[in-house]
Amino acid sequence: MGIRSDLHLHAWALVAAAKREWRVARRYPDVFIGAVAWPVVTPVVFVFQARASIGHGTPGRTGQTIPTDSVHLAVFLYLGWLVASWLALLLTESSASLSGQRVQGSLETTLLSPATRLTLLFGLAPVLLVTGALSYIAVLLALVMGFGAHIALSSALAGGLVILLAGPTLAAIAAAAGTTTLFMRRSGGLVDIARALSVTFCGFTAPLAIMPSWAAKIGRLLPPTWTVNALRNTMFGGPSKTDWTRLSLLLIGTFLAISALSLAAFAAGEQRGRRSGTLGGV
Amino acid sequence: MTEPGRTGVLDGHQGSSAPHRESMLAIEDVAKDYLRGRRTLVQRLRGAPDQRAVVHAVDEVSLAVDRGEVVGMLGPNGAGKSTLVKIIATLLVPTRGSVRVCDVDVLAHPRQARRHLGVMLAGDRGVYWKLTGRENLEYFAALHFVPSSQIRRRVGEALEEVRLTGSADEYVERYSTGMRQRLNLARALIHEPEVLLLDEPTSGLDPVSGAEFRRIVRGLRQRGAAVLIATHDLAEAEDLCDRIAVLDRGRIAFQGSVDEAKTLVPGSSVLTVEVEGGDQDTAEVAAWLSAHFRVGLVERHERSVRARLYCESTSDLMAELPGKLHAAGLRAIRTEAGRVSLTDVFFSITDRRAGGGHGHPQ
Ligand SMILES: Nc1ncnc2c1ncn2[C@@H]1O[C@H](COP(=O)(O)OP(=O)(O)OP(=O)(O)O)[C@@H](O)[C@H]1O
Ligand SMILES: [Mg+2]
Repeated sequence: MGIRSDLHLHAWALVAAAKREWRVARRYPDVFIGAVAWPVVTPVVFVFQARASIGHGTPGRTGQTIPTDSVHLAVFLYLGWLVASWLALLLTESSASLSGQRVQGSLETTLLSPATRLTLLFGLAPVLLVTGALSYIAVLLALVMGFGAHIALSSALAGGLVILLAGPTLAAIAAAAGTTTLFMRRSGGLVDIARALSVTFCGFTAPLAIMPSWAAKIGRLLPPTWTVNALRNTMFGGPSKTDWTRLSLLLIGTFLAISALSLAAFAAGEQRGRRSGTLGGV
Repeated sequence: MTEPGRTGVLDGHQGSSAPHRESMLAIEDVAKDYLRGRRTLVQRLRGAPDQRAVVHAVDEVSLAVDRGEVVGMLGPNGAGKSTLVKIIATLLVPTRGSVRVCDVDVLAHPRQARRHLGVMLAGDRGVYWKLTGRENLEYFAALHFVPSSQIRRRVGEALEEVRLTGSADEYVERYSTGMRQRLNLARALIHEPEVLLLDEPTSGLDPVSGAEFRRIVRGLRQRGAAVLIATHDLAEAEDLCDRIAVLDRGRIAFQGSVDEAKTLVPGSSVLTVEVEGGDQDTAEVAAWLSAHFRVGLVERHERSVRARLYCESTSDLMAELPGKLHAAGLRAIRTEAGRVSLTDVFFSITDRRAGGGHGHPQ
């Protein structure tokens, strides 16, 4: 009867939803092309700009200050843009997927099913994880081949682990944004705000240390910040520079919390739509 | 039309009709009020009075569909058919009333109720255009808890049933409207539900596909499913349905067998006549016909008026018609004898309630 005894059925529904999104992404691989091109191309100008303007900055070989050495500067900025562009892609794709389903009417038919609404919230997650991995690999290649960075294999692998750990949490953030967009019946506004805030607070282009302390405080609470910090620490200082237990617990904890919140928000929105008759609207 | 042993009760909308047979779907005193208009955030914050109008889309409707029964829901545009379908389908919460599907309270346990329901919403929306027909069905089968070992077989069967096997691996965006609608039907059938709700299932289908659809529905009836069909195709309803319910402005205006429905028409036969009145205005001709005969649907053409005249014997009427017409300066240019159809029922129920312009003397 209850959701617990049907767990495997819900799990299969979730797999089917992931398969559906995967099939669409495979048919329109531009999302993967974007995931490779965007974080490789965008930072170039920022790297040169920063090189020109910093001159004698704080000497740094850690992730928490702006490095003056030009290779390190490139690594620093590229890792920031990696997380920034990944997050941007997650937010837009999730919202676009849900809003698209609503317009297409398939949201309504999906809601006719007894399966958990996680299918709608997390169907896209595997695709988004793959885009993150592709972005990461592309960035590593760009740094090694374009900027002559020396990246130890252990650091590269540890960075991959950060991506893997952060993926579900960022996907949950995207699901929350998508849910809000869906039920507020707006397509872009909220997502743009979320993207702007993340660039402001998460230290993608500048270390938290140079931000006003109130902004840094906010930044420290945000999972994308932890992600980018962990990546920089790992690249600059090696895998041992990261407290893996703490990072995993934090990320998994927020993943669960945000997922639960999104699910509750979705249920509330669905219930409101069931009252007003607006679930199927365009 | 009516199956033996079935005693469709002419209970109109006076409630508590849920019979003690095996009702797979039982709706009792269901009402849905919509708010029409807007209430802006500013108005809310100011606490300005709510000026939205209440629309009674569905009003105190009671209806039951038994095992192995096909019920047709008819009614003019905006009568509330789709609203009722969505209420049963758990997509809408009614303002009042109760809905039970296979003895599951839809309002209290929507998730459980959805397992028994197969729903086809109006139009050809609802499937994923960027996937193939087969991929769509595989996805929805999993969503509806078809065991993974059976999905392939079920999808194959469903595709075969709606004759889409040949286009199964085409992208849905390349389907025609009718193909998408058939895919939607397959989607509704994929988990072999006990209760089917079909909202205008044949609106985009060609005659052959329409016949295929009726074959499928008869198969469902044989299997013991309960089927509720909202449709504007009265011939189809007459052909397919064990019972009909006519909805008008949210209320059930009639509920019973097709034969019972036909007793509402003032006459057992119909003579369709096309009358020409020389210089006379067609409006006058129509009025004259309404005054002198029991008329149903009247259509004014450019120079003539076509009307359905009710009578007990078409031969008697045909005998007296030319004289009567001649006296009024009119001439019948075509006559055709026929039987009372659901179109006449539809007209007489909905028109009478609307207090409409073609009223027939009774
Ligand atoms: N979301 C909504 N908000 C407000 N009013 C609505 C909403 N949906 C439907 N209505 C109103 O409810 C009434 C019934 O609509 P419904 O779609 O159920 O009619 P219907 O019988 O299916 O008509 P049709 O034959 O045209 O499909 C109409 O007056 C319609 O305007
Ligand atoms: Mg409708």
